[in-house]
Amino acid sequence: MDKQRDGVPGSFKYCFDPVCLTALTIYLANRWFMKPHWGAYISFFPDYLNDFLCIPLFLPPVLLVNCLLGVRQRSRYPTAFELLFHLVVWSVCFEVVAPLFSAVFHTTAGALDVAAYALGAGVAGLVWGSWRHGRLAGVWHGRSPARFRRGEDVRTPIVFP
Amino acid sequence: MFCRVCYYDLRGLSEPRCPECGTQFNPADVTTYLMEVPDLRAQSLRRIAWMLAIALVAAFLIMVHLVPSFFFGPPSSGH
Repeated sequence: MDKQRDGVPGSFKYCFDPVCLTALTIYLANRWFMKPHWGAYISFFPDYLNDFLCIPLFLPPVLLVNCLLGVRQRSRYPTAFELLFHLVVWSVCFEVVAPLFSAVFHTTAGALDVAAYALGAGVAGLVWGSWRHGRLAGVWHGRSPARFRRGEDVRTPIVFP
Repeated sequence: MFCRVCYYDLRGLSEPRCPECGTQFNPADVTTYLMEVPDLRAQSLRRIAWMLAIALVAAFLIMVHLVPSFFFGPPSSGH
């Protein structure tokens, strides 16, 4: 049964999810700014940042396809099973299968790449899990989380002079 | 005759209420209960198979078409 609370404002927005959009922003910043400027000094940007962003960036659109095909419930935040499932499948694809065709994909296998996938999945899972259980619900609407959970509307009215 | 919510066996009950989850049902109305328990295991396996197929297609698209340089730079770049 879906444990997502009814009181959580909004629902999972797939490609427009804040985590996905943040990952996309970081990816574009890395591609056009961080990697060219800082890549020579900090090897994390050219080597592992894209791996870190893999799950937060690609899982929401993939889950949208799942939703459109009726495989998952609409508007439900990603579950731990979905995160782990895609982490394992994509790790095998990118780090086991793709290196077998290294002439095509120009890639080699690396345990740290899998660690980066897992770290990204863990961070995204923590955020999505927090929103699913309402711990950050108020933050998303600019309210106090504790007061939001108690059902108190703490929005400050705009007073014009 | 099973509960629509928790699939509890409702046969032989004295009152039209599921003792497991409290859902009420009408023995005269077949839409308020299930005649058979759905095969949850088969449903789960079918769902996982679809998820796997979609994940593999997505991985293939990521590797080949969508963003070819996303993960895969030259081998010397550390990947």
